Amino acid sequence: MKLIKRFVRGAIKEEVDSELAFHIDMTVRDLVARGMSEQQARAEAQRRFGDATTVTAECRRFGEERDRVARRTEYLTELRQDVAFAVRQLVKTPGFTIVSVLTLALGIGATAAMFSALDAVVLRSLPFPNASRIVDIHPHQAGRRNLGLTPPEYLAFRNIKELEYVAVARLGGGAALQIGDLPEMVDAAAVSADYFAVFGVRPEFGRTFTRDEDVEGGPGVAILSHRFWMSRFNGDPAVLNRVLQIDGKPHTVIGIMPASFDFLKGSANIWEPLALAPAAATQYGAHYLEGYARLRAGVSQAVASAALLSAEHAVAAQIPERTQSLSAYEIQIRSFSDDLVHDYRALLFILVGAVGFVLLIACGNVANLLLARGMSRARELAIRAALGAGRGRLFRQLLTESLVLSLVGAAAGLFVAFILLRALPHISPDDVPRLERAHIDLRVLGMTLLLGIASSVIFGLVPALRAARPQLQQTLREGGRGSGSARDRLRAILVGAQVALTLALLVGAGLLIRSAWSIQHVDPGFDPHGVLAARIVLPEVHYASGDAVVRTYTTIRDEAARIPGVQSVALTSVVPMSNSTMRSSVAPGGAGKSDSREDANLRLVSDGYFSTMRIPMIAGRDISRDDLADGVPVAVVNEVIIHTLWPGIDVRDAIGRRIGAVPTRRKDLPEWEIVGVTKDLHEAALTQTPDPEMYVPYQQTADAFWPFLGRSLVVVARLADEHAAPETLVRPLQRVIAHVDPSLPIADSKSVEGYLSDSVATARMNTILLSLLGGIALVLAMVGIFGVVAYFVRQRTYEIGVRLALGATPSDVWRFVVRRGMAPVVGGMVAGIGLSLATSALLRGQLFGVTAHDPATLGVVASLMAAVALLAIYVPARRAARVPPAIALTST
Amino acid sequence: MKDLHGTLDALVLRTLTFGPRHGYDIVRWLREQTQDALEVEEGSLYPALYRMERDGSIEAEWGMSELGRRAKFYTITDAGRRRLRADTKAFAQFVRIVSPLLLPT
Repeated sequence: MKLIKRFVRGAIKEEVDSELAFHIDMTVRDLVARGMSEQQARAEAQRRFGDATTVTAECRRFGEERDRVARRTEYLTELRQDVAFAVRQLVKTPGFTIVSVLTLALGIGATAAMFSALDAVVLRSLPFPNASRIVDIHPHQAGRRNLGLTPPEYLAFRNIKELEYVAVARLGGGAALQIGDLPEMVDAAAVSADYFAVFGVRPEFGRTFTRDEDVEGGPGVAILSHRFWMSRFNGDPAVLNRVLQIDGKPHTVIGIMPASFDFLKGSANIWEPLALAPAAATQYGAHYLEGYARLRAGVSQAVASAALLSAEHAVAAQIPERTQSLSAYEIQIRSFSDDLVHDYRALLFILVGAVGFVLLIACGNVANLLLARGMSRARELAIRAALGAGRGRLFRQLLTESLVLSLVGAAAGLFVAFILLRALPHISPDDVPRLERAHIDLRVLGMTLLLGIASSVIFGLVPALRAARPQLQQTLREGGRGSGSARDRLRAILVGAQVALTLALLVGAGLLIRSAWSIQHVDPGFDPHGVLAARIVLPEVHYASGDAVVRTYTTIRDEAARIPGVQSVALTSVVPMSNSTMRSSVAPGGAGKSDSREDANLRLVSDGYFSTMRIPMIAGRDISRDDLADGVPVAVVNEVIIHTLWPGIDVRDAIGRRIGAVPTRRKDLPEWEIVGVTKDLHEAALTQTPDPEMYVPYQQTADAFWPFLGRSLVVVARLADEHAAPETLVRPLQRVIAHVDPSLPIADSKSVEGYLSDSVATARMNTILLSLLGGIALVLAMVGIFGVVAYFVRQRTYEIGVRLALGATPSDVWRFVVRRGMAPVVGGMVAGIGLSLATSALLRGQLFGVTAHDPATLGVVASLMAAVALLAIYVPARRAARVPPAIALTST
Repeated sequence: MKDLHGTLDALVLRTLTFGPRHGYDIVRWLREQTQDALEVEEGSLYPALYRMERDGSIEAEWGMSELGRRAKFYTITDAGRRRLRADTKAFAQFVRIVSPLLLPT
């Protein structure tokens, strides 16, 4: 029936004509039987039929439509058959299927995950309207880069007409929030009224600050972040207009920002008005504000920069006792979004590149597997072709098979991507913006599908093309053993490419691992083990005077020293590796005045800080309890400062010399007498050379200086037992602080080791991810090599049998197989070394203590690669050596 | 009498429930069943047959007619039977609604 239909379908015209002719003939026959003449009957029949042309045309039209429908149905039926057949075939060879799907899943999954991360962090524009017009403002001054903005600068910049909005924020520290009984420390920022307008973000509920509220003595108002509102108030809108006790003062909640404003894990949770005092208008040296601006539409960064620079010079011209020329004052603006993603952009592109390698390797594997499969099935295909299956049909069916394979692979890959994305935020540094927002969205889904389909077309096509034109006779004659040196060459090239890509990835991973190892072995210059650091902030309401601040910290410290198990306790303004600094430009003071000056990190510390942190003193004495406000101002410095300010002198001779602050070297500012010198230490990062450091007693801090510090110091406490967890000190310390003032919270407490580990978080993430990718690549390459050699041995079983029968020893066979297996590996390794020289140059910025072309790393990786390749060849080679020679007689 | 508008498809399908028939046979069968009262127009019948074939209500197959000539035989499909049931129901409803108006007693 099907054959008839097929025949009929070809000729609609004939079908209609003969059917209608039949009808006419039948009518004529009936009429003749009733007594009409043949001629009359035919005329009558035609009359009855009516307009034959129209009827014929109509029938043909419906007929053609019918055929189209039928063709589509047939196509779909065949597709269903192909898919069903493909699934059956895949189920029949579970080894092949599992290896292929896993390979594709790893390749596609890793790619999708990295793409999601790249998309979230770099590609997707910030959720702010016209985000490209948002900039950060950074003043530079005589080589001091990235200073904060001063209040006079901010006030002047507000009048620049090229800027639509200008705003400043005082970040850092936190605010003590009292809800219920326990005070807690919340990340807070004091911002000027236009801060939210700069970003163009409207609150989710309520409103933002008005300019009238942003004045000294203005109303206590606060805005909450979405994140904080959800976590602390369960997203209850009733929190609006509620009064919260922040830093001991009542604040009314007037607004809640939307989730899109939580662009960093660590961004502020509470905003309050900056409320600059009128006196701030002349604080020319107070670089404590972060400046942001929204450029007016059509204003370029260059134009805005120029306008800012002239405003900056106008401000500088008013500075009394200015020591530098106006040209020393510079302004730099940077796009806010560029600043936010800074070096993660390069990093993510490197990772995406690495992941691309893995995908290529995975694809190479699947291609090889499909090729081998196509050849093992050459006999089946030849038989089917001989039985009349069309070439197109065979081709389509093979392609369907690889399509099914890669779609399953893509689905599994999506699952892999999901897991990787869940894991990624746990190993990444905290300040990668928006990483936790990376998720598998429609675009990633689309890309995964595309990758799946592309890989299937590419890897399915070559084997399908080869299989679709099987040399029928040859294949049947060879008994399906298959041969062909061209195919072997293609497979060898695929293996070589895989090895090359794997090697390049492993070299990258190896270099990062060596870097991580080097970093681990940098002596930080202090002993971070067993030390807890807990920041305390004293609210202004209760601690207005510097005297009260000093007294309170002294009490807290003394009481903390009595906690059982504590060896020593000290105070500092900044913990090493905590990523915050307070810098001051210093120069030789007193009689030895000179032009040499240095930007130094300035830290307020208590006595015992160096012994608690185990920072070795080289000369002089420690800060003492008796260095009080009315005594001689003293300082402890590190070696770097001395070598820069007084080149060539012995550090011991520095004791007693004086050091002064620049550029506001006024009579009322102290010069410090150097009483001690410490060894250099890595305060900022293990990978950076030590900075100049200056430590001054917290007890000698000027009253006016405490507000800049937020009246905040860190208690560092060392446990007597080095192996105990420093976190066990948190509760006792909280009790001590509550005893001193029940409204004081601990802002953040963390082991100093934790700070150290955070400082290498980026390096750690790189290392983990690249090692993971390198590991995946190695496994995939191993599977690839194994597959090719195993296939080779299977194809040559007969030949090997003949060789053995003719007197070859098993070790000859070993050598034969290993030589054949290793040839593409060795070629791939040579290419891989060349490739790695190019790719590892991209990593240069991420390396530490090792060059991008480190021969040792290259050697180790190459040996590893060779060892793994030999392992992959071992199993099939052993099978080859055990081939019974009799197979030469029995095999067909 | 000519076929009522819209009932041709249902009449053809009904005819085919008694077994496969070719086009001429359908005309003849309807005429005989209605004692020559219903004369289906060939000009409408054949397009209808092709249309219903396209829609899957009927299937066609070439075979030998009783006189030894090649003829196209139509068979009703399952989809065609479903359609016949629906059409019959709609027709019955039409009659029920319209007859009190047109045939007042």
